[in-house]
Amino acid sequence: MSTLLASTSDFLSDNYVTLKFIHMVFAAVWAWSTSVAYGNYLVPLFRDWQRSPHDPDRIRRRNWAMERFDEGAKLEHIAFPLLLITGPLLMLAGGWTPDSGWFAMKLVLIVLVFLPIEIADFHLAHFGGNKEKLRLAGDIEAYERAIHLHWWFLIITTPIVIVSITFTFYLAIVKPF
Amino acid sequence: MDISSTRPFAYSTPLVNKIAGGLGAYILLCLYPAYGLLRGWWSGDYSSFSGEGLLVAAATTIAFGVFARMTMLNYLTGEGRSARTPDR
Repeated sequence: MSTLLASTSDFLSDNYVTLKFIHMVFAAVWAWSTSVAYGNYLVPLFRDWQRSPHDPDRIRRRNWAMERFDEGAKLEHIAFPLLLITGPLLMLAGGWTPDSGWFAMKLVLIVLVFLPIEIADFHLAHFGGNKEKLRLAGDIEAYERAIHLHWWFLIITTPIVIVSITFTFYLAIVKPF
Repeated sequence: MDISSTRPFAYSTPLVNKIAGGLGAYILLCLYPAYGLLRGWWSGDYSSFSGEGLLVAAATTIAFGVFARMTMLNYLTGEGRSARTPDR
């Protein structure tokens, strides 16, 4: 058993830079794959709808944008679990521990910020909160509730992700403390 | 699609203030202690809880709370980009 662990650890250490490359690619996909859709489609259309909330045309645009956004979040939600796999492998390969302040801070952010946000986001985009499924089920009350809940979620998490994702990249790359 | 159930998005500035305060408090009451305890548990280094550490955590809390409030209000009420579509 210990031999297996040692050879696994050796293999990971030998491939540290390759692992780091894979981790960074998924980190970039996770962090920014929805940003253009959010900033240039979802937010303007929701602002537009809020100015005239009973206009059928604006409601239709709002619903379309949110349903497409649910679909567009797939890339982000494929990348996140892969980050959760490659991250611990990098930790083993590099021998990183909470002795390093940057690493401890990054762990705290992943467990107490990113995981809860992503669990909620998975639910809202793909499971019980998926707008297309609710529309096809004909549950218009649940559909409207899901739209409002998802919009609140996005409004509240926007400042969090702006700061914490930028800070996490800084921690991982600069390793300031 | 039936749009009869559509209702305006309900929010208020006091509610946004409370949310921003809650987000800031999460840094001071959850993230900062978790970081300090993790470091302390792993390496016995509890220096994160020194006066300087607390000052940094408090300043971060206030700065983030202000930023969160500004950002949320901007997304909810700001003019920003409007939805310019060909048929509008």
